[in-house]
Amino acid sequence: MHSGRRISLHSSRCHGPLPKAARNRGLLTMLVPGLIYFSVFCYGPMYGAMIAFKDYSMLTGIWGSPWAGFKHFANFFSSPSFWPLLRNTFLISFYKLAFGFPVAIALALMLNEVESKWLKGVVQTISAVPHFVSWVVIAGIMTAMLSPTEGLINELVKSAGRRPVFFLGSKQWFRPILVVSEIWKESGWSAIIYLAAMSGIDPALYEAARVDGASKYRQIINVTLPGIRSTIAVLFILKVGNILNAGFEQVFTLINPLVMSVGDIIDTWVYRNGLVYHQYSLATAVNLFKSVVGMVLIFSSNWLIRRSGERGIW
Amino acid sequence: MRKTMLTRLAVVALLTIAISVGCPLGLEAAAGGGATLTMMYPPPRALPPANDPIKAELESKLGVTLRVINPPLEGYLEKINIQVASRDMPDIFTCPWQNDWRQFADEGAIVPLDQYLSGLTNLSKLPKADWDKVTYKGKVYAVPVGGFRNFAGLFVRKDWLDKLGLPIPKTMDEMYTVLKAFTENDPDGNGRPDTYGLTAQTSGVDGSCFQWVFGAHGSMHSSMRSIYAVARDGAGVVDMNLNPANAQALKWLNRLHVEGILDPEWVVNTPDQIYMKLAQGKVGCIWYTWNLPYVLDTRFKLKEVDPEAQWIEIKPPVGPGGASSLGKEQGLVSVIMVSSSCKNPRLALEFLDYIAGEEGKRLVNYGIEKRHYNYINGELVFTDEGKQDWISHYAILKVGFDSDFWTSKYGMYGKILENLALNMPLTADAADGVVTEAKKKYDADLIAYVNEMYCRFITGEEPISNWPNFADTARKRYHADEIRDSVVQALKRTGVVK
Amino acid sequence: MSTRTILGRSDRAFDVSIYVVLVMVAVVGLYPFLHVLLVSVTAPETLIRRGTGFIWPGKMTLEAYREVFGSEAIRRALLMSIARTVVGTAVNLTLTTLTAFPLSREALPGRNVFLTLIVFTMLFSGGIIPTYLLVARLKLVDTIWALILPTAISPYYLIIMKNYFEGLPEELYEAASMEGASELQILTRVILPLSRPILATLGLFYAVYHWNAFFDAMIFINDRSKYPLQVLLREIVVQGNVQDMMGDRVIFGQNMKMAVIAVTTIPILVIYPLIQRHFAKGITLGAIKG
Repeated sequence: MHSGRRISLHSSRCHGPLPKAARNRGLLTMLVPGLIYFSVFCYGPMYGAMIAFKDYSMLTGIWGSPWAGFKHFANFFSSPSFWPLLRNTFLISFYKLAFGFPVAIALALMLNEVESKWLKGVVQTISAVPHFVSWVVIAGIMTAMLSPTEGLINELVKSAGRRPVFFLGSKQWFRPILVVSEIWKESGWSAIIYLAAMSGIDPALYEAARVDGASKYRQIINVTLPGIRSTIAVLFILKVGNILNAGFEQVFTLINPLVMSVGDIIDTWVYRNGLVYHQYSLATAVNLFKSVVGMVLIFSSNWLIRRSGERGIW
Repeated sequence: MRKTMLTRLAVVALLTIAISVGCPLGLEAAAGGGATLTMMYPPPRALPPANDPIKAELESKLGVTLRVINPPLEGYLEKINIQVASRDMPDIFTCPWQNDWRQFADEGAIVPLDQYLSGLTNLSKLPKADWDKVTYKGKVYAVPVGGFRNFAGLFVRKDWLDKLGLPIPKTMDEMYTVLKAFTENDPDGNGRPDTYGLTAQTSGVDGSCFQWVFGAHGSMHSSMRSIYAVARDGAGVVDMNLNPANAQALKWLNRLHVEGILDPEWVVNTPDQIYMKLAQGKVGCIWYTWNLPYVLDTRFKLKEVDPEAQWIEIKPPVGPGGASSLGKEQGLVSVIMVSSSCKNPRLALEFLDYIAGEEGKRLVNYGIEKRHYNYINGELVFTDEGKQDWISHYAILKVGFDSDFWTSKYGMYGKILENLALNMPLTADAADGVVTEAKKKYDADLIAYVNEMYCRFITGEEPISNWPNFADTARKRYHADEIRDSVVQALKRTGVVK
Repeated sequence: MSTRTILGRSDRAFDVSIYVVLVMVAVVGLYPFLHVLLVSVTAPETLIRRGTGFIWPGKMTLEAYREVFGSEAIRRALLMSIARTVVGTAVNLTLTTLTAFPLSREALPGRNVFLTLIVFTMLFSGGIIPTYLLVARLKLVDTIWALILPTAISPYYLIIMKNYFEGLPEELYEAASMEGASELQILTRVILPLSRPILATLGLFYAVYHWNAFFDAMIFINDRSKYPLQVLLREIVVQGNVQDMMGDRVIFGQNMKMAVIAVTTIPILVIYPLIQRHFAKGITLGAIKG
């Protein structure tokens, strides 16, 4: 199918390498549509971030609203909820990263080992399905399964001779439930990107490993993992940069007053504060704070990854 | 390979062209010329079909072209704010009463209506008290939508009461006995202890699923915002969420929790789960939206699952001090505003005046006579098409409680609403609709703390004896006093407080 | 010989354990969707008698599906969603590829500056108001382009694609440029045919984004005949969690909600396996050498 490719190159009119300047011009030209997009649709509206430092008024608009300095940041930082929010957001995200990130890779590795195309396709598809079911619905299923009175899980707990647990109302269980349900919902979907990366690995490498007598396990360690190392690195950097996004929809649908102190995250706080009175300036200030933290984390994790000898984003 | 790529590109290009042609830029041209009225409100019920006869009728009666924008309820406020911020506003838009509609006046996004209201007789018949609520800085800034004082009820299983030989509970003590019996005396007769006396849904209607318990103790509670009652001497207000009487109410609930009468999942129940539990006959009592029996019967086929089951609404039980209250009195449901980009505010108000009048009211609520409804022996009867959910799509302004409408639409269920809306003891929030800077800044944090502590008091995680501690923390650390003082200032200006 | 059999045996044990785990994954993964499907077709009476915890089919009903597809508005919205997904994904992939390729080349002058600027947009944004003003000024409100252009490139996916390109062997570029191919020719004739896995993956991601997107349509589309499917369906699904103030709304039964989810999910489940064959093991480089 691909055999004609090399030949097709011979049809190009000019022979011999292009001069460097022409090459650069070619690359820059290609970049133009993307640059237009980013400047118009991303940098164009960026002035809106100013309202974090203003008392936004619809009447005078973004430019005309009076300056408020760091007032909205101060409101956020001085809220009695600030430290609990930061702690909850960080911990929930961190656990999700620590447990969920390897699970997706492991799932992709396992899928990659399946010889039967049929089985691989079925499992791969099914494992991605939960991704498409919204949190509202998953939450409904979880509440039923975890119910202290008739839930499946508590039936097991009871048959083990223990007292049923009200999982969703329990401070000890709430964060683990968030992590496990996130893994349940997203691992199959996250594995796709690794599977794509694995398909780029040269089969000759496996062949060579087999000739050396490497077991399947060793092949994974010596061939597959190195082959997707840079994908892992890039995704890791991006995830770390997102650490203050602990999953609004999920937490929002599962949180309740009993677990507020362990489950309330920055995004749910912003939502509550804007629910009745739209506080654009406050929401923008909080987002700006999150972005700055994210940016710092991206730069530092990128630096760490590069020091470890891997290519990061830059 | 390249050939297929080319074909794909061609397909994409064709599709692109087809779609861009299919979607003309900007707004649709106004049909038939003349004035256009753009309205924005969340879809009250199902959306009407494309060639909606009621819309056509309205347009021909008023000589305008109507353009209706119905963003989903979920993102409605976001949508209004963006439209206002970009000065790309519809002529008329609504806002839920509890939200800060006065902000739109401050921002110059809406126009005062006083000068356009003269001679609009139907609108002038709206209650004076409602017009007062939409008067801001001496001017009328909106058309008030009232009509409902209350739309939630306390429901119990009548068949369970009968089976256990218990009367309808009138006092809190009797209520306790009933709920305990619902839990322990096997009301469903299946021989298993699988029923609860009471359940609830925390985010329930307007924020307090246990308001009737607090009401019986002469108090109020809201899980949505701070609410107040004018102090006895009339000089200040009492923050009702921190009212010591609430500690007694919480104690009563805590007892239900400890004795296993209260469904432990009440904090996490969603409406779907509530309907499921009730339909399955797991619970005997709940405070819920008026249409609960209707939803159970129609959507959850309760009559087929359990023909015996009978849900009735009862008066809220009376507490030790003789007080009782079913819920908080609704201020208004929403307000209708005319934006400053409306070219003809008078026309907008004429539209509203028309639907507030008898002829218009029938058209937007009932549909077209003969096609959607008939009067048979003076009684309103809907046709099959008239029973469709989209029929009252344009009824953004409801005037008074229209018994005819609710009864013919919902049969006996409509009577429940009528009973709840007109005949139940309610409590009013003295600071209903008051917004202050301190409230904007601190209320969300305060309420989250109050909700958490209330739940812990009920489950017993926090002993009731810690109430003073809790109230103190709420006052100081969560700025409850500061919010209250700002509310007092605002109420002084309007004369509610001396 | 003996080491080989031992290896073979441990490989088999390894395989078996993988299969066991994957079958478990499949069972656990299938549960929510199976639940959705079963609830959507189970008569409410049966549902209530058996409880929602674990459903076994009893009396069936297709009423909910009839209701979903019987609605003219939903059929129209479905077409809008399809159009948006097809055109949107095509735009996304074209622009993402065109941008990712130069960024993957060390030779690009100012590469790190461009990358930093792009990563910046991943975290910082001006918010919805200025974006709406921009879309309104470009006269895109109420057109399909309002749903496509503002999210034409995802910086996140852009970086993933760039990373993929960087992973391709350098010799490919050298060989092609020795033959005098321009950069565009290298991209279209050498790189893209080798990039089917990533194109398929990101195409899937972008398509799913467009298929599920709801907020932008709510903001940028006023004419309800142009609403995509999700805007209409969202009300049905989410409702039941948002309690409205009037209590005067249509309450949808469980059947309807689940049918709606099934209807929006099934197209993706049909397309995903078709996409999978583009990232079979060793598809790319194996082909060059072969």
